Amino acid sequence: MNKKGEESSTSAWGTIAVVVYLLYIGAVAVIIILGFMSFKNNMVGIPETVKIKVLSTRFLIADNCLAHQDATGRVQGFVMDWNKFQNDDAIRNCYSDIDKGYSFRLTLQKLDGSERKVLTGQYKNGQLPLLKIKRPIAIAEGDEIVPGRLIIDVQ
Amino acid sequence: MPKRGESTLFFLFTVILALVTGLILLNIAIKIGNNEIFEQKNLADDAALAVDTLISAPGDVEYHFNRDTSYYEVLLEQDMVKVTQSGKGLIADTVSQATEKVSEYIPRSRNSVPPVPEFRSFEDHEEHIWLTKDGDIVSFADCNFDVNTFCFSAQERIRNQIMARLNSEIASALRSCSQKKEDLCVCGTFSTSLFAKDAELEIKNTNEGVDLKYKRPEIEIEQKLNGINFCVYGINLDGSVEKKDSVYLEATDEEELSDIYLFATESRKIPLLVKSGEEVCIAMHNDPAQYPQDYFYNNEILTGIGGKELARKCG
Repeated sequence: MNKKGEESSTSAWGTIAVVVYLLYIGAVAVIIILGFMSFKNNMVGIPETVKIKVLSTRFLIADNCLAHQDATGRVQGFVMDWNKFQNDDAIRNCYSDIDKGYSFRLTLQKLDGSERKVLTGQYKNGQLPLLKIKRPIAIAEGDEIVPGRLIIDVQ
Repeated sequence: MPKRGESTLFFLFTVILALVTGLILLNIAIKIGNNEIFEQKNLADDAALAVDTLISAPGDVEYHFNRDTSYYEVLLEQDMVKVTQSGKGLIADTVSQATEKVSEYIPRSRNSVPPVPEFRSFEDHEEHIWLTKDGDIVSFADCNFDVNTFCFSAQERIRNQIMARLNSEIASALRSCSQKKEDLCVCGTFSTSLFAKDAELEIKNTNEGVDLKYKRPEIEIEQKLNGINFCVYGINLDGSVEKKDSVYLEATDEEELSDIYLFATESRKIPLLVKSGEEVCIAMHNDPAQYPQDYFYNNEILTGIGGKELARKCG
């Protein structure tokens, strides 16, 4: 004969087992749904390389950034202003240093080997870049325009 | 020990809470099932990328979102775009907050100097919205704030497109023909793409010029071409010509335009315009039993039955 309370104890364990099982099923369902949502969010999202290229275009053609502006104030796209690569002021005036998104290091090289580097706020020099973009470009220094190369490191 | 009635009250509260939670979860599940959540995410990403693009662009720019955004509230904040579902009430608000999608972009500067973009968020906006960049200022705009080529209803937009095509495809061909000097020559052709199902075009000669009346279900467009005389140049089997001063052009089940207005070339059948005296005419072969292949336009010569030359291309 069962002792007092034994029967109710068995039924309580059964209830707990059902609750645990339901919690387990629920957790699995949530994980599957979150996985599916994450996958689909990535599918409908914009690819990283597209975002990076749009952001790096800012340095190449935007007003009041690194591109050369002629005497009339007209921006000459893809012509980099050598003087704006003296320090980081110009790049940081057109790319905020908020701690998100991507950070950039731009290296402007002349064919004679001289080069200048500028960084956005969050770029860490000791860290490997996520992506490196190299492109031929024109460099304006005073009235002179010479060929050169721009290397964009992205973190 | 709870008093009598307290447990009933607690039970009711639990039931209401369960119902509200159930409804919220159901709404979220429906939104996932309908792909609305992913559309919100895509819209937020799209808008954020557009802002980044506009910031990158030199000069003043307008970017039109070619998608219906009226179902959502699109909020443009200092460094992000938020997209939520429009809706009022406890459940709609909670669902809206739970499913809010955010996408970030990089502003030019987080400081107030130099000027940061000034953003406007707005709700219950029109179907189509666009972003504008004026100097360093990027903002949303809609027809309440601005007037431009996008401020038309869908029907007005279609109407404008048809009007532009009517002008570029048919009116311009008639105008160009009227400039020719010869008495009788083939002066051009025109596109038949406007003659879709249920569409018809009446071309009528009047004292002032030519009246074009284009009709399609729910759309009617009229255009006047002053200083041009119009006719229908009806070619009989024996090569003789009968002229009329108006015509209804419409699509058939098989063709964009009835066969009697089409003339065979080596590759396809095309309508022809003929300059006859001072008139610009649309050519047709009068006998409906004849095929366009009997009337051939090749090597700049229009020939009829038996290869009889009817007209040459204008100089």
